[in-house]
Amino acid sequence: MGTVRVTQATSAARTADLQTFEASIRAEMRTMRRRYEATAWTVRIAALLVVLGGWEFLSATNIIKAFYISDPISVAVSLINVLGQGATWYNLWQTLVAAAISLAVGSILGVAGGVALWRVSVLARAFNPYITLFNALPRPALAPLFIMWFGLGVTAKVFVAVTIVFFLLLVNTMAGLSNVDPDILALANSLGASRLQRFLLVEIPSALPSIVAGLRLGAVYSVLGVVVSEMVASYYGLGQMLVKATNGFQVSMSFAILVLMAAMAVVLDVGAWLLQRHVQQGEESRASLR
Amino acid sequence: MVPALWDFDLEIPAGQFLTIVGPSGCGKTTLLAMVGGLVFPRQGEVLLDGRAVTGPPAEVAYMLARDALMPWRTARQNVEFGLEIRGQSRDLRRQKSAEWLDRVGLTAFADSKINELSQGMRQRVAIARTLALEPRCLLMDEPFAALDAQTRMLLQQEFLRLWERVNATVIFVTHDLGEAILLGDRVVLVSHRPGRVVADVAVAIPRPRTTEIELDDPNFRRYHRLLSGQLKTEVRAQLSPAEDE
Repeated sequence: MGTVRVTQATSAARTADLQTFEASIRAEMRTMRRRYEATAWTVRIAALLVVLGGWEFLSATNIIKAFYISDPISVAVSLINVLGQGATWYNLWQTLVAAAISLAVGSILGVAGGVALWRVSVLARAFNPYITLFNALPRPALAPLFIMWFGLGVTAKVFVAVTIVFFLLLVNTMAGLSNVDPDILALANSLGASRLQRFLLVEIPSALPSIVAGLRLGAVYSVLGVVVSEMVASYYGLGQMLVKATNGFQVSMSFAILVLMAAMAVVLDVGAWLLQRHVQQGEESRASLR
Repeated sequence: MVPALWDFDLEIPAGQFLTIVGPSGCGKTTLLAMVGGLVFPRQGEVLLDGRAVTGPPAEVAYMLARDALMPWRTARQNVEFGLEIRGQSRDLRRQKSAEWLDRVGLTAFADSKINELSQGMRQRVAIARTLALEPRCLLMDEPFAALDAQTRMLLQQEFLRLWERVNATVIFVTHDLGEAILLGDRVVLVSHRPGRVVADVAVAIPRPRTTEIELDDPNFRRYHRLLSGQLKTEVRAQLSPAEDE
């Protein structure tokens, strides 16, 4: 008929004390959170065991020839061996340094280019189709050409990686600068801020999250560019090491090198993530589940 | 294309709290923008102390409807923004921002990030930022419009109290007639676009005023009755322009 009643009075089990009630709710939420995390960890470890177990199984029973896929133990042994060799560390260092240089050069040029194109908007419009075109090209395809031009040293690798990082930062910088809150701009204008003040105090800080997001991706892509270039041809580097191992049918070592590459990329990514978190001022770190 | 204001003539004596009411889009914001030196009249002039306004004047502070707080700065750093632009030294900025944060009751939150603050608190930071500039003229564009009714009343009261110590000329734009009468020494009603002054009433309610006068003071109701009819006419005319011409 339509009568509505909202009451606590009819509840069978009733905690009279509000504080006890709140405490029990909080405890319940804590338990749920813990259970959620525990489930995540269980699935995580289970997945790892399934993959490793499956790998070992396929290899041991020769469903896939062990020659081609190796097995977890052999890879682990190979990894330990490889880490004990000086040459490995030299190659790793070469890749890392090339990636770091590419990230630095590509980012600086990318941000500078982004600022320039944003300031002189007619340039942005003019170059837009070229940027789109060049971005569509798979940049690693430039490696053979650059190697022909610059040889087998660091230069070619860095050039390849820079072509990737540059566009990333260019686009992110332009996007960040174009999305400054118009209210804050209006405020700055109303205060009589000079162009430089507006740029340094409003526009750049506003664009920073976007730029840093670009840096984070850039860290990963700089490794990509360098490694691919090394794989084509290079004196030193993990990419070159990988190709040599695979060409020599040393599958265990190949996997071991892949693990090293992944570890290096993770280190760079974590570094970039820390920077991103530092810049993101509480908004992200509260919402983040990491 | 209709001009924002036409046949418009308004003179505001120093220290007066002027409120401007009118339908949305009637040119109230353009008026403020002109006094703030952000746009310029094609015909006519805007004079501040007899001198033409050619850019954002140093003695004028403009407070927008949305707080325009910078999320990458703390409350204190936001309050210091205007002082920073105007080139004041760090120590002086520190001192002034601490003073004004105290006056709006946010000392405890001075170093909080602004996204941790409620809407009402954010507006108070914006007020602190505006008043820290110690302007001779304050331009306020519906600053309390986005707040819930209770917070709005609190901030209106607080703002009156702060204004009484600062003694600046205020041009306060609002769509709320009650707010206009509560706050202003003088209420100007602007017509629908193109904006023209259709009513100019001195509010003879003594200060200091409290938000209770909306309920208790018979004069308040008198002013409200006087102006609300005209305001409604203008709002209606704005909504259906065809009828009016």
